[in-house]
Amino acid sequence: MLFEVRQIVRRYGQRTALDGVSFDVAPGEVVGVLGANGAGKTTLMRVLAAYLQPESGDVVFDGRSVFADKVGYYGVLGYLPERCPLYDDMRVGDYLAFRGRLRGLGWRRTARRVKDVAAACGLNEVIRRPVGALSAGFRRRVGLADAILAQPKVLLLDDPFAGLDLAHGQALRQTVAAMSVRSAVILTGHDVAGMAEICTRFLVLRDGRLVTARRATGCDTGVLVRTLSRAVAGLDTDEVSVAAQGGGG
Amino acid sequence: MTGAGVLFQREARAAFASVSFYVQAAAFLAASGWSLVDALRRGEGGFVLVPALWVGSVAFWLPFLSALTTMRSFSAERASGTLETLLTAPISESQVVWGKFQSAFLMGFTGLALAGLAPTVLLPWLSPRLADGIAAWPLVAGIVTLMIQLALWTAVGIFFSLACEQQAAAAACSLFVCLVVPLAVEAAAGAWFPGVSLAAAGFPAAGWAADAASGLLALAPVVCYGAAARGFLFLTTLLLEARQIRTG
Repeated sequence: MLFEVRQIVRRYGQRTALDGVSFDVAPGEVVGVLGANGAGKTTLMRVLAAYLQPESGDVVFDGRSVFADKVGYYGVLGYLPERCPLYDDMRVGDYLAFRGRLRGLGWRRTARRVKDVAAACGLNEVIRRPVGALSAGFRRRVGLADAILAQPKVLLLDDPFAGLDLAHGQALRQTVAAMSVRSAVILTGHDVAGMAEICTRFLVLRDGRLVTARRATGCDTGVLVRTLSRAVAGLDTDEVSVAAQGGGG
Repeated sequence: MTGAGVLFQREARAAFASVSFYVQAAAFLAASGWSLVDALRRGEGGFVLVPALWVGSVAFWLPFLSALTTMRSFSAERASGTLETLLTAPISESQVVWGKFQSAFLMGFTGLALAGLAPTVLLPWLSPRLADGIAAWPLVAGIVTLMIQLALWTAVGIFFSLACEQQAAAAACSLFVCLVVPLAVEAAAGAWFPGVSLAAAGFPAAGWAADAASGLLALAPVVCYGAAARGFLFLTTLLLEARQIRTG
């Protein structure tokens, strides 16, 4: 396994945001994490990104704890946070170049990669525009371009398709699917049908616990969407035992 | 180039492209210029060297400039959420702090360099008689002393920009530590040890800088200021690591 999440517990004061979450991700997998608002998706992504330290449990990448060598882990990580924070004062091209150089890509490779990701994420028309002048959809695309800039081995995308129109959402899903060839991808969201197009597996969080793990391949999409939607809404609890036994799906 | 260097470039470009920096620098130049003119008037016929008067007049306003230039460093990143993307880039916390410090120091140094035009360009032009007595070395010693002080004020400002969520609170805390605390310590020392003559110094840091510009160089303050600056940068790095854990 490329990525192992072992019994993660994370609390905010008295509230338990993540309660013993465990799962594995293999290279080439695209794992979708679903859950209602406040279920713990963003906290899980922040822990997986080693931005938040869990109270107990561990996240292991390639056999090593990500918290033991965070800088090394960040070198192979692409991360799009939920709020998609960007420097509004910079132009899109300058921002991506800055992020590339911050990741140690060097001038030439940065320039080449900026060109590639701008084309992949449909940013060519706004490449000289200030980030602060972009619409929410374009901002998210810039955030995604930043996440895939250094061709990461682990790609964490927190609600990447929020605020995108149908055409751009479809295009970005294809970009993410293409990235899964070389990366383990974990993404969160609410659009079950859209995520079903690219995810190979789904995890459902409820109140910080992993309640459902289900493979997305080889089953009818309509049935899958209905089942997952019921699980997210808390109407379907018959797969709790599956998750408790290791979340393999 | 290191991550700190890349971050320094970004921060410096953003700072020099913003109007607020020029407003802050203009206010600093106006305040320090007014202090210099006032000091020259009061010191007319005395034996205090012009470089010492200039250094003393600038030193008092330097904490204000550094408080203003550093207050956005981390608090703006926290408010916009970019701290999350910055801290998940392959760059250590100490490099983030160092990059921020370098850019804020450059801004403060730019203000200082512009203020240096007063004794080197303006005074010789406006009052050649006064400028006759200005030697280069006292001025250089004074500027180096001010740079060491600026490093400490900048480190303090960077620390509070991370510790405080509000920019105004960061600036206020920075000014409290850089101005109020030294003045309070000096007042307390003067009250408890009347035999120790502290009355002439005014703002303690200004006294040391003025001494350096008069040829009275001392190593102890250099070590103290340098160590304190280093200490605040270290504390900022620790706080950044802790903040990373607590941010929710």
